[in-house]
Amino acid sequence: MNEPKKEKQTLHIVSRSPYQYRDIEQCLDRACDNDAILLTGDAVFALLPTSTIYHHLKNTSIFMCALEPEVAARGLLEQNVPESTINLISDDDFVQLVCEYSRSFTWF
Amino acid sequence: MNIALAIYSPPLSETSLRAIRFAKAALNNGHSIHRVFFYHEGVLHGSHLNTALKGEIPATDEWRNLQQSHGIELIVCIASAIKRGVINEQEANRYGKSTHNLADGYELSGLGQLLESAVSAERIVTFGP
Repeated sequence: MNEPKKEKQTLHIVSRSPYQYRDIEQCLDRACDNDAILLTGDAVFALLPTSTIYHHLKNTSIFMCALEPEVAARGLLEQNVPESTINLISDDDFVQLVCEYSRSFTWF
Repeated sequence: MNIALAIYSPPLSETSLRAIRFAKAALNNGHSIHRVFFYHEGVLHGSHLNTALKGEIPATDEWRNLQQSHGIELIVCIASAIKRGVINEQEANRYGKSTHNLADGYELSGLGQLLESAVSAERIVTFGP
């Protein structure tokens, strides 16, 4: 028998810089395997390989994504972050994620 | 899907602009936006005295245009608003102010409207401070 597909639960939205706040760390601690984390605003600085949080992002099994326009606005597209670490998404994808997951939760 | 939004950030902030982009993307993809609840600094969207400078996005007008074209309710938290000088004629009379500035298309109402959105909309997305 096929295992029932796990329901996508919570979309966590983070927007503050990992250099100033521990939002992403705390979010990673609390998120379940079938949650997703969306980085927006200054939270996208977590994608810098030199950031303290970067290795956590690389090693988590949680679906990680970042809003592409806000990554681009900070000149971070050139960081060549591996696709296995992060999915760069559009505003349309953001809407789709909100619908796919049962709820969204904004950290601030 | 019927989506409600809560906006805690002032006009011109990156979060405010993200919320406008999100709303437009949702509407373009066939979803409906039931209500936008402006809370904390977000209530500053409700002042018609905001004037965006050249090259900036006039958030107050952007939301009003969406309200007119898609019938979205734009609710401004009354307690947050009166503290920040965003008032309608009724509140101006109540508090003895000589003028009022709530923009057309926006309504002052209570936190109950946010709770009602959380219950009745299929999704609620918060755009934080």
